[in-house]
Amino acid sequence: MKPLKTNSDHIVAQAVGVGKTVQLASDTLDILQDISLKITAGRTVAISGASGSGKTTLLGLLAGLDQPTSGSLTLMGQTLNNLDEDQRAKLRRGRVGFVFQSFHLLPNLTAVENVALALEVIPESTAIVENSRQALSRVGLSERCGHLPSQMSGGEQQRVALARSMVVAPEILFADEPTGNLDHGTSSQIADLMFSLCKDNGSTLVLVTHNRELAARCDDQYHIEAGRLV
Amino acid sequence: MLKDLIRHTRLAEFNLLFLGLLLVGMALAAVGLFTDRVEQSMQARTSALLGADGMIDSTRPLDDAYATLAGQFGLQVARSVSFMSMAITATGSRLAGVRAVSSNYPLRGEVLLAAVDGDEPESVSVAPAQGTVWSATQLVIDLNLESSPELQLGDSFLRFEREILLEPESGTGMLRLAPRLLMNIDDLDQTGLVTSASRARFRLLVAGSKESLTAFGQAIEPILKPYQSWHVADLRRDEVRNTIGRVVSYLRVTVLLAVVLAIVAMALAAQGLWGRQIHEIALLRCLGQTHSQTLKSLARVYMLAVIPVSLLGIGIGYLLQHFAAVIIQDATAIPLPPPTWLPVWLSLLMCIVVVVAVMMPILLAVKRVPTMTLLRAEQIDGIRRNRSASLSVLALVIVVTFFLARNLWLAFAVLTGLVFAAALLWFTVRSLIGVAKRLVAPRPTAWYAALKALLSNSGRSTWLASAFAAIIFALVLLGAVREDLFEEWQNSILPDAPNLFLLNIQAHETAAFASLLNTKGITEVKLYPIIRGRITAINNQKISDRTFEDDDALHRINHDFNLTILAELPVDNKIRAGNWFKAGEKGFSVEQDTAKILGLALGDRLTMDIAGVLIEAPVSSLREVKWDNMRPNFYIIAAPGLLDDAPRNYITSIYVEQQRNELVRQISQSYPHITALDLGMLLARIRTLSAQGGNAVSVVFVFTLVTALLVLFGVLQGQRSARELEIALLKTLGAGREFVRRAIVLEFAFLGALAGFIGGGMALLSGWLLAKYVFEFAYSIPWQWLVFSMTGAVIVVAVIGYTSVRSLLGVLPVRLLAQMAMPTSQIHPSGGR
Repeated sequence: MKPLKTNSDHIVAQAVGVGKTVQLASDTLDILQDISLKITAGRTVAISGASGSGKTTLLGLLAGLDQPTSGSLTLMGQTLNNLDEDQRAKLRRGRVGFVFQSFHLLPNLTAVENVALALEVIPESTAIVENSRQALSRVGLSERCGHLPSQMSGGEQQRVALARSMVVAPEILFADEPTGNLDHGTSSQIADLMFSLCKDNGSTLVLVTHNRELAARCDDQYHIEAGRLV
Repeated sequence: MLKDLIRHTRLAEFNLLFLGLLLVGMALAAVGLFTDRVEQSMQARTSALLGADGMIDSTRPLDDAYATLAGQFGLQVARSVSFMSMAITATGSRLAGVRAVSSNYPLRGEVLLAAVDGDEPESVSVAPAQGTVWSATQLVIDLNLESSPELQLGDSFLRFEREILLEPESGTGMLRLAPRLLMNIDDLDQTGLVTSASRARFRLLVAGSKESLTAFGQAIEPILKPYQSWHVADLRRDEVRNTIGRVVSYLRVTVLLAVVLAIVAMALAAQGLWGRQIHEIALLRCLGQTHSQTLKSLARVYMLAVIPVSLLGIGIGYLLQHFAAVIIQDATAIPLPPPTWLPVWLSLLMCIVVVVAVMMPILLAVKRVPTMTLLRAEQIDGIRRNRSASLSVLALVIVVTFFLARNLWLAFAVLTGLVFAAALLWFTVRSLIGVAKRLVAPRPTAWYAALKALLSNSGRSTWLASAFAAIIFALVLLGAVREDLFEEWQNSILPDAPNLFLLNIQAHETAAFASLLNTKGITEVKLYPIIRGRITAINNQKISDRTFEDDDALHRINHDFNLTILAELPVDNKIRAGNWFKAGEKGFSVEQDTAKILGLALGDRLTMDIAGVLIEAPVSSLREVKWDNMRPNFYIIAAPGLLDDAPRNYITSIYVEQQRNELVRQISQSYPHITALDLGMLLARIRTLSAQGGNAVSVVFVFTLVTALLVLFGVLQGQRSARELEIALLKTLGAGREFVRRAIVLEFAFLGALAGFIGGGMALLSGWLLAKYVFEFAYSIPWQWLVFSMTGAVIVVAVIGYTSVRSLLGVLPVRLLAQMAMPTSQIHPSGGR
């Protein structure tokens, strides 16, 4: 397990004048325009907005999953604009975690195997199974290690996804509507767990949500409307 | 690596992909190994007809130098001397076609001897022991050799030991004028019958590798005397070879169908697998895996599975062909040599090619998977359909077709057939669905819900109907058409095929001879005149002035042809150029291959020496001859009136169902110079062979059926998630479980009717096409099978279809909707931006 990262002045992600435009059949569509923000290590940050406002696109850009049309992006000290896809993947390896609205567990893998995936892509990983079991234990699923996703409830699946994201003790965790597919009670449990794990690991949390209650729990909040920060 | 492989085996599509590969390996190895053995056997058989791979034929004793030379080329050597002589016993005498052979005769093939004391007939490849003779059935009967086996031949006395049923060079060699007597060449001198001036054929038989044979042929060509000639076996006149050849090419086409279906199943599985792996690849990229790491890890998993699965398939294929060969050997006594390794390597190579062709375009698309797929479901649609995969599979089907058909025209015909069948299937299903769409009006019933599901998902319905139709096609072809087809084929060539050839009938006795046959119930006796003639000039250019490179051509111009005169085109002959003789027309009709070898064209003037008289006439037609029809066939036929004065004798072929030996005895007594050639044994072999061919084809159809089931499984698997959503929606809208169940059963029943109609119809059509163009006989289509196939398909498809989705019926709508949101589906309830 990596040591806790508590340097609150350290900027883990930054966007400067970022824009994203997509080409449609006969027109262009500006999804994001002139976005500038700084995310400091150890903070919890919410990006909220209505459906179609561009918040998921911003999350993808900040995490290096996509490239901006304009502006510059920095992730963990590296300028993303100059990196190709493989270089960005290597940057994320073991340092960035993800939680998705649809969980994205692989249906043919058991809970422990799903968690292990995050360690298996890191060549120097050791004790993969033990660490994965431990991560599952931290999300309260030590009894479900051998279960397939189809044998688990939505809340349990999202907890496995959380374990997968936290098993590498990432510097930054990106969460896209992590409670979007869950009922109210389960949503609260998952949110509690996510905040608590981030705090324990010292991970920065970047959370995309349209749930105001969830956004309110974060240290910093950004709101997007029609592709602009307001 | 093994861990990754085990994880993949939990995916139904991955297992389906490799099950398809297993079947491909199995089918390719089984057919490859089997045909390899059959081809080896046929090569041996061709030589067996001659008793050797090649021979020098001479009318004077052969110089030992030839044998020495053959030895230098690494060829085995045997000798035979054939001549006519009277065989005399205590009960009478008879002209015999004596063949004295060296102890290692025949070099190729066997002599089939009749059973002794109720045992099975025995095949041997040695000469009779010194002091003994073996004799053809006719002599055994005529001279009553079984009760008085002492036989005088010239100055020596020999003892009859065994009866010959088949021997090298027997076949339908119609011009052997006397029944065979086989003796040891070491007894020849004692008989005093053969001297250098005797009228006898001296032969040096040789056997060895093809290269040595060709080299030897080239070496002796310049030193052969005018009365000597060099021969290799003529393949076309072997009835058994032709029968087997037909069965083998039919097997190849059927296996091809199975392999193509397996490839379609694999392609469907690969597409499904791709749909699943898009998420996995994107997720691993999110977690930090590079393109090359992803590619390597996927490639490793596939490579790890390809070799063992292919080898397992090839192993099962080996066992299948082994059992098939054992059955055929037992039933036909035709030995099949062990297979070579080549088909195994080729099958393995093809398996790898198949997997690479199916998977490579998909693996190459790994790089195009956007990581944002996990956040944006709609990005998947652009990469889910992989056009290069379709093109790759199409190219693969073409390669496999050529690999299996091994014949450009057959491959082209099969490919055209496949494309046509697929297009016809697709078009018919789409049209029927289109018509139904216009006719159906909304009603609140399960019937309407079923029809609507069928019609509104026309893509899925077409795939399902096509897969079911392919299965019905294989079943109907297997169950009904195949049996009818093989039965009728056997009936068409065998029961009334002549089993007795009668040669050397003199012109003055034809009427009396025909009456003798009439009294035995044989009413239709077609007597063919036989006139011997030699080509002396073509277009007034002497044949000796022309040069012929080809051995075959040289042989033909140096020998007499057996001509006949016919007013009507013989059965099984087809005119390929020109026209059959008109009344009063003078001309020759020449067999097309002979014309090609001799460089003869339509209209060329042919001069023939008929018993010293030169006859000139144009080539008025070129014919294709079906040599394996067991009837007298001719290279050259003269028009009526052209050879009226030529000396001739006659031959005929008849079918005698019972007491053939009795008839032969009577003919021998009344017409001692007539030779009877009994082909009953040869016909029995062909009959068994075609029956076994039918069985072999059945096994291959089972392959086809299994692969079609695999395709069906692939299609059903692919439609599950969409069906889950439909059921969930129906239930959410208030449909009860019973309503949904009935709608599903009815939908599949409709599909079954459609598939039964199309699959059954195509099977009947294929049967008719096979009968007309492959087996060449008239076939009455059993239309009732269309009704049976539709009824059967309605029941079977409804049961299979319902069973495949039954597990989805009991699930609550909420749970289904939750499942819809899972990563394997494409639906994201709130697609954020």
